[in-house]
Amino acid sequence: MIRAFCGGDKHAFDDLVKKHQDKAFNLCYWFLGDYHEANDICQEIFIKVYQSLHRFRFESAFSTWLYRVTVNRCKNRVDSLEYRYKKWMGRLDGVKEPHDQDAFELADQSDSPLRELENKEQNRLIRKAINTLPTDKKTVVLLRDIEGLSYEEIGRVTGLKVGTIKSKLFRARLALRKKIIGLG
Amino acid sequence: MKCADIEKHLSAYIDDELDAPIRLQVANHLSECRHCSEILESLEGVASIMGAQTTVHAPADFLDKLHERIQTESSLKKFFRRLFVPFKIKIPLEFATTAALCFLIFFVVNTSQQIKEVSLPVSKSAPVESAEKRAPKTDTELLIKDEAKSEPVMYKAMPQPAPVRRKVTIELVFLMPPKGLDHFRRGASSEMEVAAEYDKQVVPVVKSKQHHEPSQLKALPLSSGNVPADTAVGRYGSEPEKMRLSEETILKKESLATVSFAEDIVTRVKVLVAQVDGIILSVDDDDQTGSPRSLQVEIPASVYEYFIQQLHQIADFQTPPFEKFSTNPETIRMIIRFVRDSAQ
Repeated sequence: MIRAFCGGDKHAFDDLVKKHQDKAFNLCYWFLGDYHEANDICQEIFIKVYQSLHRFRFESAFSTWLYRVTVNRCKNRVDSLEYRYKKWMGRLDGVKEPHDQDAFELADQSDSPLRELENKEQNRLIRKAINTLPTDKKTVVLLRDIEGLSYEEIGRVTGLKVGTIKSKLFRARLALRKKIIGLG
Repeated sequence: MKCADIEKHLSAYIDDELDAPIRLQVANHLSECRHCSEILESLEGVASIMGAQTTVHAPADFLDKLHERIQTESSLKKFFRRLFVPFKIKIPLEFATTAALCFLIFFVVNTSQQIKEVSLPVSKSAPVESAEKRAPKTDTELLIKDEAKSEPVMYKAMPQPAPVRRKVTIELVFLMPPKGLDHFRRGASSEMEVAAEYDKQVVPVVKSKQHHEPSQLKALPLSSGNVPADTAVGRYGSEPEKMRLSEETILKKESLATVSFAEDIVTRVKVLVAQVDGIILSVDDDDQTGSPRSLQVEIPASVYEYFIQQLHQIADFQTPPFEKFSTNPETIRMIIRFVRDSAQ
């Protein structure tokens, strides 16, 4: 698809987006803790992909490159003044407005309304717990436990050594256990 | 292995990321250590809960919105490219911004340096000068020795000089003899006779300097207080011998009226001022004694040196007058005060 896009096939880019948008969006959502922030950042990420795709050298998998761009963008966003202000004001809590309920789509629609509500509440609490982690530990635990990347793949995305990843992951999970262990 | 070492590997043990030998060691330790087993259990719970979270999908119109934004950004880029590349010369926006910023900094630095140079004050070592249009008594730069208060001579802090100086005011102090000795002519019949003696010495010709117009001689009422400003009487380059002769003549004549030193000096200064085409501005007399207390004159700056030389011959100064000025004034105003010399 990348070669087709570089060859001038604009529709190849659409296929690429459809294939990878949920991965990127999901990571952005858990990283930033807010649906609308995730939407905004994810758009920026794919605009960046659109502008830079012709420079892609196939030295790594496209997904690795995409994750790398996503993590960097999310880190920059977290450090931004606007985000920190919103967090301080308590406006980053996923779905708060009634009209946003429909925009928030969960993969599993088979649960009962009560179960769905419980899932959403659990989701909110987990996001809140993850947001308390430092950025480096948050990155590692999300790539491993949410996105399911191996330690090696995490290393290619973040540039960290495997030993460092193990250490950070252990500490991140240790920090989270007190906050979310009762939710299972 | 100790618990601390085992704990570091627990996460990798959960994720099956350990090498076989280490994994075996961890497994053996866990079978024996309850503490590490509990930690393992809690970590597994966290991983399980996190892994169980459902994927959050992008909105349905994500791709459409993306295309709109791509279109907008492309248009903006084209606009900026046209703005900075009118004749197909590539000037990146960053370069233009940097160049503009450098120019602004250079301009601000240069302007601030110019402001600093203009506002630098004049050093205190400069001679006493005053600004134009000040009252004679209030703008005195030198405080003289006050005979009544006996205050020491001191210099005031120099005021900020004006950029162009046309007039300079200085003060001179003549030392007068103590009380009882300040009248040197005894037995004079009248002051007018003394004045007449001086009148005889005045030669009714004025040789003008280069920038002064020759003027008609007038009989100068030397005993009077003020002289009209445009009156020029006397001879340029007065002859000290004739002045002294006049004085000697006066001294010899016992019939001359009693005249104080101050009055005598005032008379001589008036003659001198007339010689140099100066102006007598005022004569201030003591209310009680009637003797002159101070005299204010204005002379062209070009004759200042000559004027001071002549004054030296008339009386002694309490402090030496200025010899030179750092600026080039056109006129010099002098306040000549008469101070009783208590040392005599």
